[in-house]
Amino acid sequence: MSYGGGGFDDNAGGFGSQQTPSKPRRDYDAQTLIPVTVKMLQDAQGIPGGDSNAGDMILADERPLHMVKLVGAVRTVEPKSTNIYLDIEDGTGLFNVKVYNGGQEEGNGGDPSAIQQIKAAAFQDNQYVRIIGQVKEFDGNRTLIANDIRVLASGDEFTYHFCEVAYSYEKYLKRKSQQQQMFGGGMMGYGIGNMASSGAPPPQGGNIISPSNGGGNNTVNQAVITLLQNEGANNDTGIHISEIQQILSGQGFNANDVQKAIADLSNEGHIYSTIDENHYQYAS
Amino acid sequence: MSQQPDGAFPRVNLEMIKSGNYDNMIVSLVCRLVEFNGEGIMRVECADGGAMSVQVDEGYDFVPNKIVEIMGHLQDGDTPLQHFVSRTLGEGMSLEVYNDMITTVYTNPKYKDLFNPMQV
Repeated sequence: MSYGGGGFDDNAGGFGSQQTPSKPRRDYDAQTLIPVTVKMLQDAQGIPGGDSNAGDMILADERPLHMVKLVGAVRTVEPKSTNIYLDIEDGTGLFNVKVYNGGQEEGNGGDPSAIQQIKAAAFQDNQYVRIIGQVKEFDGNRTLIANDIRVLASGDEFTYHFCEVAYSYEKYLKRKSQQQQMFGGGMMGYGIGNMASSGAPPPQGGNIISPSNGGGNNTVNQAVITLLQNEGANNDTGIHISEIQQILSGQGFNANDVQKAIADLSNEGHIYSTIDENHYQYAS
Repeated sequence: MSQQPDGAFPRVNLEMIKSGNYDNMIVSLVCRLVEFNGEGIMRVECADGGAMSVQVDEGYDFVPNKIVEIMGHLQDGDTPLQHFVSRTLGEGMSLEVYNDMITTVYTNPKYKDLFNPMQV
């Protein structure tokens, strides 16, 4: 039966056709919440070819910016009709923050009164606040668009934030170093999932370290990877755990170590389960 | 007074103040309020336990044991810190942990790109 003249012809772009170009989906692994200082935001750069107005920015250490967490003191408060503009300083610099202030009543599109109270408590000079939001740039001016702003629960949260900034940075450097070791350089992405979707196979017998083991089971991890690469290449259903254990027992690995290695490698994204939770395949 | 980027200031304890590296700068001193003579001189306990004098207005809202961040001008290590602004940080804040943070993290050259460009 033809629907050529009935308006449902796919060629005519009718019902069921997919002609609207879809916007590229953001990499979920890059959509993280990064604790930052004002200096880090000031030093951030737009991604070449990207749209800084859409938030396509990266930190100086190449981490992509999505959501950020900032702790600082309110220097100035400037209420406008639908937004409140704050100047926030944290000792590393001064940054402009914009908070949407719907001003509508609860139940009429506005924030619940409790949230309004929480936000209002933050809009005071010399009040230390925690802000979560996204950085946008327009005409060279950067602003942190706040999704959430609230007064610090205690002064220790202030100390904690700076420690977290350093910890997040160190964690990123460590992951970057591990990825470069595995894939011979070049960051495939910031998150774990990107290691599985890179498309670049690791070198045979590569040095794969499981962070959770601190590298202690490196050999058995490596053996599992090599087995799955070789045996699983032509097998879409993957290899059963018991078969992996049986094969590797001939190489001197006990079943418990193999099972633990499989769990660790799966958590890290190096392998994945296929038809059920007992069959695994290498994530090439 | 030296030129400092707006919003950028070093976070100091007594040892840093006495070092002379932050003379003539606007600094942040997180401290516990100890004593106030009512005539403009307040004694505070710095994050490293050292005692420091701060010059404040006579009408300063002094609350014993309150932990605050005092923004002020540091002329030198022997002159009371000239108070500009106080920011409340509560009473339960650990000065010891804060001191550890500013001495091992905030001033660590490894994290120079993350933190204060004014920090020595």
